[in-house]
Amino acid sequence: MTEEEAIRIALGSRPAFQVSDAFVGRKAEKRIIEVVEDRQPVRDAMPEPGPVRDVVAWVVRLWHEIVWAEFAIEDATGKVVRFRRSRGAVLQEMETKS
Amino acid sequence: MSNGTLSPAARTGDEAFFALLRRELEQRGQPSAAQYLRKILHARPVSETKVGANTVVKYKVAQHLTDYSIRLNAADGETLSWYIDFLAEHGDQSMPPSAALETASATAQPPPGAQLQTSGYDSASGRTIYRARWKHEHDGLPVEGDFIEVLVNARARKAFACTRYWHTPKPGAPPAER
Repeated sequence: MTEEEAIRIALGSRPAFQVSDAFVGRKAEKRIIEVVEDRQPVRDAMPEPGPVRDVVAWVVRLWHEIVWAEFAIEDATGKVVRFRRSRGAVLQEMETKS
Repeated sequence: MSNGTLSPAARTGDEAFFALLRRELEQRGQPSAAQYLRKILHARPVSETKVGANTVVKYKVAQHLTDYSIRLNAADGETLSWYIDFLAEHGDQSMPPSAALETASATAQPPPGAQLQTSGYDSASGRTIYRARWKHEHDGLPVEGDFIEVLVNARARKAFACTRYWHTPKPGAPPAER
């Protein structure tokens, strides 16, 4: 997978994670990350303790002003294996929903 | 001999010693201080000898010097971090940075894949410290979450803290407890 492909996947995943189109990004970093296998859908929440696997992933951080939403995309499969967002982005989402 | 397996004679002597100190504190008008005796002092039996019908127990008495914190990985017992409180104080910049880095490196024992990320003097909570931090790269890729950090007291010329989150990545391997 190339960096550009990873960014495309992240941008395409925005709706599934309630991330607005205002969040954009142009960079991805390839890293080895740990993913907890907690048999839950990928979501922005601390996983329950459980077995861990090492994954080669592209980490794509999308920005909107000063808040961010981050996708980790597994290099081998193209799947989103982790999703996180900044506290400011969480507050923004809460304000949007209320 | 260890405190956890005191012989009857050693236990009797230990209790008598601390009872003596408690009475001493009471006589000096400091009875409330007695509750801290066993936190501050520790009597370790070093020999036990039969003399006729009696048993002579000799002790070494040690005084609490500092808190020493250590964190261990519950899964494998690996040391994650340690910290010696009293060595964290009164640091300065008297050590040349290269020498402080040598001290930090000797403590960190950076494994293959470790790359020095930052090093230098810093200030933390009003204390002058020397900090060195290593990141982890594996097959050319950064390993997220892995690092080693050592803090050095340059005046004492000693490391007083070390944190180590490190593992050998195995991408593609099945999930495992860590």
